[in-house]
Amino acid sequence: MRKFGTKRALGGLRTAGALLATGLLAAACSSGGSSSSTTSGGGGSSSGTVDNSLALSYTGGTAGKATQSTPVRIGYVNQQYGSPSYPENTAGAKVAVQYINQQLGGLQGHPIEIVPCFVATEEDGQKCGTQFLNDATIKVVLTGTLVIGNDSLYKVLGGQKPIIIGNGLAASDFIQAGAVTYMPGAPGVISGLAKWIIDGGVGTVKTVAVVASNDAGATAAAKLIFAPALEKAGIKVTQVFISPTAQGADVASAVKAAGGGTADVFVPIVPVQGCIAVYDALKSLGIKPTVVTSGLCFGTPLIQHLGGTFPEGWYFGAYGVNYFIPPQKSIPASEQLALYQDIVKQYNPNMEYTGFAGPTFGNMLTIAQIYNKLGIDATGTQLTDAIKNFSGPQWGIPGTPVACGKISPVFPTLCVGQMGIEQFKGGKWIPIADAYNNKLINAFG
Amino acid sequence: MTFVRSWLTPKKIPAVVAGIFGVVVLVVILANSDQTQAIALGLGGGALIAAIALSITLNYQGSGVVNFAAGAVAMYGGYVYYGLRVNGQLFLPPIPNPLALVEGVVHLAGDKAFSLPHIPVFITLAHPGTGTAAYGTVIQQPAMAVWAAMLISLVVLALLGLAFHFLIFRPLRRAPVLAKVVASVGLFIVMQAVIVLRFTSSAKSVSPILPSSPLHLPRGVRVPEDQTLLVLIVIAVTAGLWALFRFSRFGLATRAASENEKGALVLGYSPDMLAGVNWVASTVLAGFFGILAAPINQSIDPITITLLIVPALAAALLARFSSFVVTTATGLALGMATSWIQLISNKSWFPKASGQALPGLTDALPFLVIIIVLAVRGKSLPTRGSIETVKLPFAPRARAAVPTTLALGIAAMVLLFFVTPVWRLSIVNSLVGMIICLSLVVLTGYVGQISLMQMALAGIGGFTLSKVADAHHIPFPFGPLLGALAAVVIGLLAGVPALRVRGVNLAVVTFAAAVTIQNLIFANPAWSGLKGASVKAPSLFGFHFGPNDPWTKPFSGGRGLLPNPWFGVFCALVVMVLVLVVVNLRRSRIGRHMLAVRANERAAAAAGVSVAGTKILAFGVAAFIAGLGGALSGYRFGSVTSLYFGAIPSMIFLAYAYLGGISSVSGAMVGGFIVAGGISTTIMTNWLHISDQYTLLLAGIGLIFMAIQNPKGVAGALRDGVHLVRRRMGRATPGHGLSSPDDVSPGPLQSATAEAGA
Repeated sequence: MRKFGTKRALGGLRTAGALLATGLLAAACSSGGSSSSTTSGGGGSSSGTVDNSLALSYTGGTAGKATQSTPVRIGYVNQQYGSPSYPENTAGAKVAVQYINQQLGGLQGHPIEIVPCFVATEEDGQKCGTQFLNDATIKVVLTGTLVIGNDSLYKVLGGQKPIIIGNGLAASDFIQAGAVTYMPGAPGVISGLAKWIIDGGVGTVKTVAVVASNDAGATAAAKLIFAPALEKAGIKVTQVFISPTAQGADVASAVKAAGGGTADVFVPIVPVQGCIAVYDALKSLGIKPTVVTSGLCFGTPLIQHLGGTFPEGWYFGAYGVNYFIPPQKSIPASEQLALYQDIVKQYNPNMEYTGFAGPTFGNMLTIAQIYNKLGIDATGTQLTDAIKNFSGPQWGIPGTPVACGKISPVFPTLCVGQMGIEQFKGGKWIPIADAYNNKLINAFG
Repeated sequence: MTFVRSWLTPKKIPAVVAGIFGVVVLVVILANSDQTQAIALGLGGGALIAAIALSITLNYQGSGVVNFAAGAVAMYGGYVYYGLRVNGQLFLPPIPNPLALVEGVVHLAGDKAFSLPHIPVFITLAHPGTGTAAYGTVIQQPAMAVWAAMLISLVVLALLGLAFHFLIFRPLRRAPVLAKVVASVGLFIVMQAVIVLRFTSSAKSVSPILPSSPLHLPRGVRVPEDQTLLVLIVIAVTAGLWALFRFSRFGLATRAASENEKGALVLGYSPDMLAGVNWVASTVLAGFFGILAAPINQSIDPITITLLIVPALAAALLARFSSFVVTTATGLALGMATSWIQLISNKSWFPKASGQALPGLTDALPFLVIIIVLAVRGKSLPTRGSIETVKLPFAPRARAAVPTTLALGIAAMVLLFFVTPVWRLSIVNSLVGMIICLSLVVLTGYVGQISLMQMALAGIGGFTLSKVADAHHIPFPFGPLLGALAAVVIGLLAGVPALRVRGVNLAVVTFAAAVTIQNLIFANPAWSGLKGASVKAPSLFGFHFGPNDPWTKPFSGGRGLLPNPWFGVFCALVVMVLVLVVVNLRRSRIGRHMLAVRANERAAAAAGVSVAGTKILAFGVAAFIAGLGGALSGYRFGSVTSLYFGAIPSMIFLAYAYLGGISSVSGAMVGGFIVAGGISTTIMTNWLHISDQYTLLLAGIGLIFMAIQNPKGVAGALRDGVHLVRRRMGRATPGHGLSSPDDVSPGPLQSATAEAGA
């Protein structure tokens, strides 16, 4: 009896030791993260050569490398390493930092150092907030995309340090008085789409069918913004909500349930995976509605799924310029997009350049501009004021004015309220109401 | 007529009435082409549910394990195929590389350039064809033919099945049901973590395997061809399994073993061999359908197929984990019903929430099915007759509880003022985690009721607090108390099924209930609000002690760094009170009743214990504790979200509690130590410098490891260690709960009496 107990007890202690060893070994485990399999080099319409003058004039930097050794630290929070995760934000931020440090002279000669804090749980959001709040060397916090931990992060930082929200998805991303977002975001794009439909963008509309993800962002966009606006204009809206990861069969029945085949306009508010499912569902149901959707559908997986093209006839609402329409000198934002694609080719040709990477890249350049104007010794208050009063234009975003807190009383975080719509028709991208035809839609006007 | 009279016994009348009703409803539905179309569209989803449910049933038949990771296995299979087909690469899971430790030591010594070989991440078997560029995206030709990628994937899956059997579930064959549940939860976490590490969580586009053009049925109904083919394949596999288990020696032996392993052994069959073969078969089956499902879903990601485990479990449960035909029929029916409900919930005559279709109704369907099954035949649900079963770990009586609790509690409170903010935060996270783990100690550790809904109950507490404090301005401490009481109401309701089922069946029921609560209540805008449910910081008599409230250092008078340590002090006080309550509960007559119920319900009833009353009481007490934990969690984050209080977090919390030691209060303390964002996380990231990306993987591996090696959990191991040292020093305490043969297989009454400390 005694021997048995002793053995078990030793076994228990061995267990703890082995667990620790497992941890150490795993920490030292083979390097290598994700597969670089589905490649998507940037550069749909770019020239392939990098002309830094555009970026230098934007950031106010000097050509060449950052020469000083002391870095300027920027807090960076993104949802990564869990499900869902948005690593493309980090790829965009990293490319921007490499580019600024190597070719735009850093921030007055000082290199940028990203201090990353990744979120996979609600606790992580609070931890990131606490870490950055209590680190005096970090004066600005940039986020990528967060659907978990964002509330906790905002509650901790609570206006004590400026937050630039990158690609907000949840409603709470747009109602933080102490934060800003230089993109129209979901509220801007969805409001703009509603306005365009009401104004007869696709002719007379009496009924609209919506299939939306039941995540916080899409639900809020559909219920708070889209449906009320249309219903106020006398348009009947049928909304069906599906899981963000709904399967093909679920999506098909949701399309059917929403009345996608009979409504005047069909609006999927879903991420790119859902877009693919919607495309296939429409095909299998044999219905060809007028589809109006958001730029979230642009992603590389959709292009790959369709063998190198986009859904014929669909309207896409986004920020007003498009990776796939050739840049125009008169539209700086379009040239900026093209330059971004060239920079991606140079620094990380395999990264997913569509989606959230580009806006995060742009935000990092904006931070560089603000620091270059104020100097690297700028106080927290000065930075907060400069970020709040940034009047744009924002890199890659044609919408104006940039006026934080003044775009929509419902969404005080928003700084830009204009968006654009393009259509893919006959194998070509056609400007419908965007920067290319100078018809950007004022979503909250 | 005579035949009808003799056949239609009174027992059969309800079933016949239900059948007639069902046929009438079906005829009404099919008369409407829209509804027929909706039902037809649900077939594909139903086939996937059925496929995963078949894998679960096969697993249970062969090994007695209800595999909560069956969906994850299907997803994993899909990714193996994807890697081979698209890139020609077979990915390897992260394997510890001892050479990297040597590398690290050399780097520390100053030679940063020193490098030793790394274990590869991918094995390249073929190269993709030339790609064509379109819109900045390279469209690559697949690297491998469909048949080759499929064949290699199935071989890999077979090897995985063998590995699961030999490395995880064979060592657990005599372990309590809870250990198997925890191990399969660990497997779930590991598989998902591996895929996120290797492929990220972004969806990957997968090219079709089956033809996908629409099939035209009468009355304008269309069904995608690939979904129809998938249904046919599932039906064919079902028929094959049915025939195999009915007519072959292997199948008959497996069925015999599933009824009674001892009997199979006596008949000359090795249950171990049967389990191994069935593990391989079920893994290959799930993976095969995962491979076929990915193109039908248009893409593959780590979540979609994995979460089909909920309806799949409902289908398998309805089939009593034994009938393949019923499993498949239920899976298909669930898919079709989900699609149909989605359609009719948008009809004008259907009840609405704020003018919109009720959210989460389709997710609640599996739970409704389970409840109906329970109502009809709960007590006849199977429990497997194993060769020998080890009971749940010993539930020791705490000694010197008051001084120990006070000493540790006060130490934690003092520590909160001296540690850095990140450590302070991790202490607070651990304290809140301890509360949830304590609720599991009461319910699972003391009464043996496996609950996979404790985080959902915590969410009831948190959301109620948000409602009453923010909307109705009910002040602290009434808000959290009301939250806890609301959790008690739901907890008591959840306890009702426990009167009819136990063991893994109860785990399935509570898991489905958690999914339902999450989707039907927490995700309902009427309850949670579209802009999120915020929670006002607590204050008492003008003293604000929320984590983000400013505070002044007690002695120096300067402004302290956030989080506010007084919130931690409050959490520590709550933990101390609850610890003493649970310790006293264990010592009390009620505690002894609980242990008696855990040991053997029949024996307990014979001894005059009210089994039903004891179970319901345990559900209520555990729900109250969990509700308080949820309320504190709301204060901690300043808000509550449906994601945080969902079914998967409930599953993971059970794992934390088990890892800590589910049958003792000290185990709950250790469980809190290891929760996400807790002290162990901070140790791993700040001291051991383990990257965030490995924490989930390590948690999963740790779970499986502990389930196999040490069912008593870390606290039990430490207790045994201390006891060993004492014994060596000649200070052993007789009657201490050190693992002993007494713990292994006592008779029910013996066990109840021994555990009660009598």
